[in-house]
Amino acid sequence: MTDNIKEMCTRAQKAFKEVESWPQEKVDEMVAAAGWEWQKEETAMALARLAVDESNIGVYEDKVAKIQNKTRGIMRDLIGAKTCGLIREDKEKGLKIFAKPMGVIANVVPCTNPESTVCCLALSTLKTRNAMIVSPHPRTQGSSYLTIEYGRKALQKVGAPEDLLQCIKQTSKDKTVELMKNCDFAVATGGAALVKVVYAAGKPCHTVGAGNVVSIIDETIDVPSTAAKIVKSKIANNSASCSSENAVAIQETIYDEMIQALKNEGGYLCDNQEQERLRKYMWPDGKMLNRDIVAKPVCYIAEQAKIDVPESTRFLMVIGQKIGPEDRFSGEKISLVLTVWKWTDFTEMVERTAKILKFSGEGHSVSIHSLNEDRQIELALKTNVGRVNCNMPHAAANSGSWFNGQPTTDSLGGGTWAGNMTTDNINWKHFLNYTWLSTPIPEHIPTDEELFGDYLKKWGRD
Amino acid sequence: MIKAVLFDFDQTLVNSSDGFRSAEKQAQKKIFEDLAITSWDDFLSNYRRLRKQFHAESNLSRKSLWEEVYWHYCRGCDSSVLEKWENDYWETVKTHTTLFPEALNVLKNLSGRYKLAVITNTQAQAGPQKHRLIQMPHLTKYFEVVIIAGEEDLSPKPDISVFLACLDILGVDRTETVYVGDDWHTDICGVVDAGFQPIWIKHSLLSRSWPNKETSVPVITNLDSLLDIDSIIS
Repeated sequence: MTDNIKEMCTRAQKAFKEVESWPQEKVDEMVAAAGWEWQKEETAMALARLAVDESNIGVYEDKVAKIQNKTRGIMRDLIGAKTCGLIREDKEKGLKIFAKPMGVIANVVPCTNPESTVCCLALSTLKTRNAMIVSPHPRTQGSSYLTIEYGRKALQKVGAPEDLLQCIKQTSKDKTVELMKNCDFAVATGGAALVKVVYAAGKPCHTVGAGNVVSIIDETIDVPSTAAKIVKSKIANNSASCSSENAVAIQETIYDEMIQALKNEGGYLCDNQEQERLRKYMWPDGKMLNRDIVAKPVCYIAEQAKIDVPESTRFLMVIGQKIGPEDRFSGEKISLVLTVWKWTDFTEMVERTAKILKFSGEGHSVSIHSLNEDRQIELALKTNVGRVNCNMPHAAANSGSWFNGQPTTDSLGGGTWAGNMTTDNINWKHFLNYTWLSTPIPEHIPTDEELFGDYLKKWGRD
Repeated sequence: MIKAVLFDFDQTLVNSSDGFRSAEKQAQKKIFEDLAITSWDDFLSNYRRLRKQFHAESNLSRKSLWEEVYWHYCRGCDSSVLEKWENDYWETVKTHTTLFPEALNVLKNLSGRYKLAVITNTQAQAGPQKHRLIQMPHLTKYFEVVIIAGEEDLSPKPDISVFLACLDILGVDRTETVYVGDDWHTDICGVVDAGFQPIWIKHSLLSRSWPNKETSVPVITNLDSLLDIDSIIS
């Protein structure tokens, strides 16, 4: 493979033309081949090892599990999905709906998940008979490239064109921009700077937003098991996931008990001086998050911030003071640092969460640990997020898991709140065009009564 | 028989190494601070890797390099700020650019015997600013041809087309020409590919580590050696 972007696009286009009219069975066989290859333990281990070595981000064991689970999760979601030819018929309306591929899709991949993001999106683009070219993050271009190499090997095995999957070997901003210009559609999993580049290319695209998950905890839950769930999620892959908890908001009657439970799970609550040292280290200019802390081990962060922590420490806790730029701990941290809030009135905490999200993470997701369904619904109604996850370890739940019905993905839409096209978990449905074949049905022109009945009864015809 | 002598500019006729060092340091500091990161070593290693990559591709735009550094750290950057920094960068280089002490005398001597030309790569600055070389008439007066490669449809060195274009203008054959330059990649390799005689100058006044290359290309450490070109290339 070379990095001549135009040549790569030409090859992708040729491969796409070859499979554009493939039947469902043949497509499903191709998808299964790629899925099987990526979920193999030896594949996941090789990809995870390279990703950790290249980026110095995350935890090897967690990455191995993630690559396998995401791949298998996507395969679960794809079972029985119709993506070729006639996929739906409405006889009453005389409609037949045909699914069509989009063409060549550019996939801009982050350094936090350089392998699993490729697996997730590639399975979706293969299932929808599209070709995909990956623009990797410069820090992790080897891992994304290797992921694609495994995929190409699988395609070759079943006689599918390898060029349905390609990856830029030595990436750059210019190459990414050129790829955007030459593709039919783009999907980009990354921050604001990336979103800007993608939208500037003027191609239809799906992008994602930043996370800043607040996990609201009320008095109805079991404290120790909830603390265990939260910590399991918080420390996974050193908090590399945008779905990782960034804050917990604890109801005041269980506050002390929950803090103790979090400490029992390896939490270290910083005192005021330690918190200020940590703040200075995490936001050296007082504005932007220090990229050097992203998904780093807690001992490294503590050492850099000159905080003396016990060896058993798994994450740091700080007390939330203000919301917004005057207290950056209220925003996204992508690190093993958890902000703690206390509340007495649930509705007030929901409003506070909305304010926190307005500052950072609007559109993404929130979490609640409560057995009170009314509270779960109130949170869902009043916060501008794509997902509200109840009583689950959030990082494991948010982008699809074996214990909930969220579609599996590595790319979480944040809707217009985050400048994205959708609030969905990006999946195969987002990579299809549809052709509606319409045939005549017996004409029916609705009466005023049918169209405006209730209004006319109440307000009259004036 | 040699009829033409072609020169590179930086570190060949002028000493701008301190200027580049200083400009680089200033730019790196500004970018590091603007990125709001704390690992200087990690930053420097990424910056140097990208700079090397840009150099290998003969992409001399500082602004493009810096945009790539921001891209690496997933950060957006203000284009107008980078342009200002780029102008500051070249101003610093210019301030610290001095002719090698023997340069004018050597050029004066050679100009009576050979056709002289200079080929330097563009500074690739956004805006109307001209290359430092153009602002040195006391130097350029000795050259029949001055080429800023990378500008006006000319490819940057080491693309052979720019060397051959220079020979065309001078009306000399490649067998009648020598080229003097300091950069192994852009000068020496380019000239070898173009099919004429390079002379590698590793000027004794420069304190830098030269690439370790086993080569039959003649090496000089002072421009004075050019007063007897025949003995160098024999």
